[in-house]
Amino acid sequence: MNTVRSFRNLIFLLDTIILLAVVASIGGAQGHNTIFFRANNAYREEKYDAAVRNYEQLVNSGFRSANIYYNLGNAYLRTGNKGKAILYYERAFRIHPRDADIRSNLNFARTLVEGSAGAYRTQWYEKVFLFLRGFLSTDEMTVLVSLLYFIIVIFLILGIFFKSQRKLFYYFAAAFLALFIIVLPSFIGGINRTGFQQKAVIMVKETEIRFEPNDDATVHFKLHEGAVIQITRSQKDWHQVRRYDGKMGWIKGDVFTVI
Amino acid sequence: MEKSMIFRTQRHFVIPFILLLILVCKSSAEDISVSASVDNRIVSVGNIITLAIKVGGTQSAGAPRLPNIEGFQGQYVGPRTQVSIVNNQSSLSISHRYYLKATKTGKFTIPSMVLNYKGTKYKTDPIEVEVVKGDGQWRSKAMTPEDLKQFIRLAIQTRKTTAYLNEGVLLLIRLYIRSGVEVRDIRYPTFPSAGFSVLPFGEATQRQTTIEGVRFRAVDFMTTVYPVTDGEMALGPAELDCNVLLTPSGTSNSLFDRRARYELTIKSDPHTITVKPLPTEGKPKNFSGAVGQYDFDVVAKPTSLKVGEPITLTMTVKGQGNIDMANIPEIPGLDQFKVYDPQIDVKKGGNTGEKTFEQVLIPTSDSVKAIPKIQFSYFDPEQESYITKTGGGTPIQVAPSDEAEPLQILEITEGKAVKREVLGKDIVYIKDEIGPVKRGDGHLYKNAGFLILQFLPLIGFAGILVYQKRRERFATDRTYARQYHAPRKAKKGLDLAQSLISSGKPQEFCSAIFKTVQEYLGDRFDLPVAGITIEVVESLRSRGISEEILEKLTNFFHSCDMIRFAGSDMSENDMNANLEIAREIISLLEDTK
Repeated sequence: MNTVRSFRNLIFLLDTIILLAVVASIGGAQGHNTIFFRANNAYREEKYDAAVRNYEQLVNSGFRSANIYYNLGNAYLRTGNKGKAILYYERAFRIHPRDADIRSNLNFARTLVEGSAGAYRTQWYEKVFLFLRGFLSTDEMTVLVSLLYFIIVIFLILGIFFKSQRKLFYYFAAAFLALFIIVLPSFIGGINRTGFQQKAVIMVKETEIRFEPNDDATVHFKLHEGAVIQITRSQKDWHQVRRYDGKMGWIKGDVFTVI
Repeated sequence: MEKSMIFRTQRHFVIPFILLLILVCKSSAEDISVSASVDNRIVSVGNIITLAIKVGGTQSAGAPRLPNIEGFQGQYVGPRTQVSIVNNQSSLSISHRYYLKATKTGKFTIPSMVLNYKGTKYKTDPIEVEVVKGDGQWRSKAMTPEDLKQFIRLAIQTRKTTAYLNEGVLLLIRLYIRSGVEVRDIRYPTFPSAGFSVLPFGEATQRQTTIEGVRFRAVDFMTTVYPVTDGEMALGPAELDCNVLLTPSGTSNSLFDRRARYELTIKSDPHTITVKPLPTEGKPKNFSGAVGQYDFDVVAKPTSLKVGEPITLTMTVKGQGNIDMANIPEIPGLDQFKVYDPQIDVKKGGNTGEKTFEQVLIPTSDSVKAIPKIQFSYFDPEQESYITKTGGGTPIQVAPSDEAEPLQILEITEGKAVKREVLGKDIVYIKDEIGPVKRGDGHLYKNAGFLILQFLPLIGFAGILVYQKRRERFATDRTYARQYHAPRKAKKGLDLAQSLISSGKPQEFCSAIFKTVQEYLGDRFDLPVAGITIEVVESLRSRGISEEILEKLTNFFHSCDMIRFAGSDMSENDMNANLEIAREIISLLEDTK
């Protein structure tokens, strides 16, 4: 009798936990949608500071979407914060590189940057080998590379089982391998961009890039708010950066934000 | 062992010693020869020559006494021995050396010297030596640094005595050192240069020169100075520090002087240059102060681009003159360009240099057709006039930007261009939907689950490959297949036999257990099953089966044959014992590989 009662209690407890989890997830989904719409309304009413606060609340809660970043970029640009606007447009572009609106606003924001062209000019080898970077996000490229890899292995397995069709399956595997090799540089380029060779956006009105990592070193060039730089090396609170035209120098870490 | 090693080590020393001993003994038998020589037959007063008395055929001859030699002071220095081997012929010798210091001018004779060796007297030939006047006269004298200044001089001079403001003037500071004086550690000269901009000195050069019949070594220091103030401008006096090696006072009579190092500062006379101001007549508006002879070049890249893309304009000024005074030329007509701060790079080499101005321009309109013409002006002191050089004007093609809406659209009415529509530029409006949302900022390629998933195809592929290979082997290798399946088949047979014990059927039990062992042996050793009887046991001996197993097998077959063919009775215990024996045989054979 006691055993049956304990079992019933356990079932009830599990039911409650599952129900709470479902409600919480729905509530969470509704929560971030609500904040997003509230932010959009503030933007429509030209209350850009309020819109920024709401979009930032979403971002700080760990929500990541191209549209959140894009709208936040717009709100920052309306408040005159070019650096933050370019930062969030760049982040949105990485998630959804095929979105024409993101691309357009990013290009517009770049034209507002003083003292530098704001963006990197694409090199020929990037056009040839990293052509997918402009169409697919890093996650999409990851899935594509993984899918091609699975297909190659499946064809190899089929070739083992079906001896009479082995040659045909191996041809298919070779074709997909070629495709894999073509896609791989873009994928590695995507990882490189997000992981090892990070880019950052200047957040202050103007900053000086020096020849050496100390405050007394000669100034090599200046960068203005919104300029995109590539971080190549770090040493304590100094970072070696590369400008859009390849010029390099040292910058203190508190004047930029990594994309 | 140790002894032989010691001997081997000693052998390295003993053998050359014996050889030397043989040489000495052999040489002692040779004739004795005595000769005298000097290292120089003409010497200046105060200088030293070396007299050597060489005794051939021995190394034990003593030094002959040095007689008084007119015109010289002499002193014995010491012996020097020598062993030489030429064409397997060895010879020993000893040279006794003497320093002779010339004390007065004239022709003198070093007389014949007598050597007494083992009771025999040997004589050298006399040698004639001439003592002349020369540098040695002042070298031997006890010199002071003040005295030496007459032998070391410093002069400052310029190629021009009249120059324009900012004109490069070649400056030479020359150190004269009289032949024979030893000067070390010569430092770069210094000089007051108020009113001049001075380049660093180049590497010093040396040459020989003669002044009023006296030879000097000249050390030249050259640089370029640029006058920055007009009027009568003084350069120098130049000063130079160096160390001089000379004989200290009071020790000059000693034959073996030790020279001392004195620090010396040499000073030149001052030098004056007349500096003229640049003429105001004909001075171009864009003149920034460059004086000299320059080339000016402008390169624009790329020449085909879109609105909003940068053009790099590289302006290069190079030539002779003070390149620091060349400022970036003014670029007119930049209202259709966005202009960025220039990058300046300077390369200097003496009075020549190259200055590059890298200017980034971004066309804001597709109506731009060319880079503006750029002028650079300088004053040429040779021609005494201002020169203006022009660069740029490069045609460029600027296409409309494709990144956003075109800036301007040409309206066409009945084939005629009538008006340009100017479109506004702004950001695209916000998005209404939140779109696909993710939590966190991790990328898929960093996800542990995703990474583990990537190993599954490889593991599956490897497993399937192994499985297929084994299947193929079973199909093609019958022996392997039989051996592989033998234990499993035997287990089944033994289980059947076990069930027959409980049902009390000894005949069937014996048949089953016999068949099981028979089939196991056939599969295990790839033998025909029907032919496996007690006779086969002997043939297994050659396959390395132990005696214990063979004995058990023989007993097992006997026991089974008794039941099967003689109809002997068998209790349940006997059957269990037989079953156990069969199990044991199979187990032992399984362990035998």
